[in-house]
Amino acid sequence: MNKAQIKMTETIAVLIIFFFLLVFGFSFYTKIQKTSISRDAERNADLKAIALAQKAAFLPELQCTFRNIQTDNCFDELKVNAFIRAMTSSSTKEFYLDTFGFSEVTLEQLDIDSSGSDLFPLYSNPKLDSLFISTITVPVTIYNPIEDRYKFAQLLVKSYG
Amino acid sequence: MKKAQISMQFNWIFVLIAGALILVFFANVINTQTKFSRSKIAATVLNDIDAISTGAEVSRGTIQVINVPNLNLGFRCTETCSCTYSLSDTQVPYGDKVMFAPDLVKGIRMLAWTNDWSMPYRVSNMVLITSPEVRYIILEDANNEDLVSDIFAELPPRLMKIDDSEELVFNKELVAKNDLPNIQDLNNYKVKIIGFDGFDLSREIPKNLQSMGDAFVTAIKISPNDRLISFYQKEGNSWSTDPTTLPFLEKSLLYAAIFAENPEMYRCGTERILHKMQFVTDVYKERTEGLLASFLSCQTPYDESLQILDDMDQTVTDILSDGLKEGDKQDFIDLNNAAYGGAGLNRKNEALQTVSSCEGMY
Repeated sequence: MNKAQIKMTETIAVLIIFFFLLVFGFSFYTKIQKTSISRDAERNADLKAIALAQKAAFLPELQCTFRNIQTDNCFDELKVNAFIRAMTSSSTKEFYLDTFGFSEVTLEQLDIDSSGSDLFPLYSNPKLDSLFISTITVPVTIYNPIEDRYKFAQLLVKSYG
Repeated sequence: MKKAQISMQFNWIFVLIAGALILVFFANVINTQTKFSRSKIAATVLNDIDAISTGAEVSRGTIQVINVPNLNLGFRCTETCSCTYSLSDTQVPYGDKVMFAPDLVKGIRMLAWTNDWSMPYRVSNMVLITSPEVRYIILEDANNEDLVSDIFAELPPRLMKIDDSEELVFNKELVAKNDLPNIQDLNNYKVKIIGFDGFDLSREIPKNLQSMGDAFVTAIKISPNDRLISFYQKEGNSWSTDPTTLPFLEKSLLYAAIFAENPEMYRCGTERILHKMQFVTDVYKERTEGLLASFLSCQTPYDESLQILDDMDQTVTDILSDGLKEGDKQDFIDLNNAAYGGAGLNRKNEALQTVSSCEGMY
C-alpha cells in the first residue's frame, strides 16, 4: 500500500467513525424525543380525563338544579336515566362524541348508607388501539327528586390517549 | 498530469462531496427541528387554551384574563360550520365548545368571558374571547338608551387590577352617534362598531379608520324591536351594501354577535346551542314525565309544561331544518314566549315550586 492509499483509507475511516457517531447521536436524540413525546401524550391524556370529568359534572342534562340554580357535583337520577336512554340513539351518541371523544364515563352509586350499589354507564366509546388510558374518579352525589334523597357515588372517567 | 496531481484533485472532490453531504444533513436536521419545535409550541399553547376554555366553559358568568404567548391565535368558522382555532399551521376544532371571537387574537393577554344561555333552563355556556387590543365602539342611541347602557355595563370592565396595576382588558368605549365620523385611530389592529336603530350605515366609514384594511373594521347594527342583527364590513371607504341579517334571542346572543368575527361564526355558534337545546329538552321532557307519574296531584302543570316542551322542541327543529336565517325571527319570538311568557315554562316552574307537594322541573 502506498502513502496516498494509506491517507485515503485514513480519511475514509475518519468519515465512517464520524457518520457512525452522528447516527448514534441522532438515534439517541430521537429516543429522548420519543420519550418526551410519550410523556407529553400521557400528561395530555390525564388532562383530558380531568377536563372530561369537569364537563360531565357540569352538563345541564345531568346536573341537579333547584329553582334553576345548579348544584356542583350532584347528578339528578331522573336526568341520568333519561340521558342513558337518549344515548341509545345513534344521533345522540354522535352529538356527544364531540364532548367526550374516546372515553368512558360511568356513574357508580356506592353502597355506603345501605342505599344499594348501582352502575350508570353514561357514555362509552373506547379506543381499541389506545396507547394510554387515564382514569380519574370524582366523588359526587346522586339526587332522586321523587324520593327527595341523596346517594353517595363516584364519577369514573376513562380517557383513551 | 502526474499521479500526485490526480490524487490531489480527487482528494478535493472527495472533501467537497463529503462536506456538502454533511452540510445538507445538518441543514435538514435544523429544518426538521425548527418545524417540530414550532408545531410543539403551537400544540402546547392550543392544548393549554383548550384546557382553559374548558374551565371557562363550566364556570358561569366569569371573566378570565389569560396570559398568552405573543402569537397570533386564529378563530374561524366555515360556511359548513367547521369551526377551528389555530396557531401557526396547527388547527384544533372547537369540538363541543361554543366560542365567539375575532378571527385574530393578538397580544400578550386574552379575555375569556363565559355567558350562559338558558331557555329558560340552562342549555349551554358560551365562551366569548377577545384581545384588549381590539377596540369596541358602542354607539349611543336615543331610542334605546336603557339597552345601550345595560349592554355597556354588562360587558366586561374596561380595566382590571392585574399584578397590582390597572390593566386594559376589554377595550370598550361609549361614543355619541354624532362623534363617530371624527373618532381617532388609536392604532388598534381591529375595530368593531356596535350600533342600534339610529346607526346610519349609508354614510362613509369614519375618516380616521379609512386607512385600515377592510377586514379589520366591522360593524353590527342591532334592531332590538325586530330582534335582528346585521353584520357589516368595511369595503373601501364605505360599509358593505349587502349585510347578512340574523335573529337573536336573549342578551347572551347579542354579546355573542358583538364578539363574533362574522355572521358565519355567529350562525354556527347559535345553531350549535340550538342543537344542544334539543338534547337538553328531551332530557327535561323525560324527567317531567317521571315526575308526573309520581306527583299525581301536580298533573295539570306537568301536562301543560310537557306541551310547552314539545312546542319548543318543534320550533327548534324547524329553525335547524334549513339553518339559521333572518326569517327565523318569529320562531325566536315564539321560543322566547314559550320560555318566559305569561303562560311560559318559567312561570309554570315557579308555580310548581311554590306548591310544597310538587317538584320543580329544573
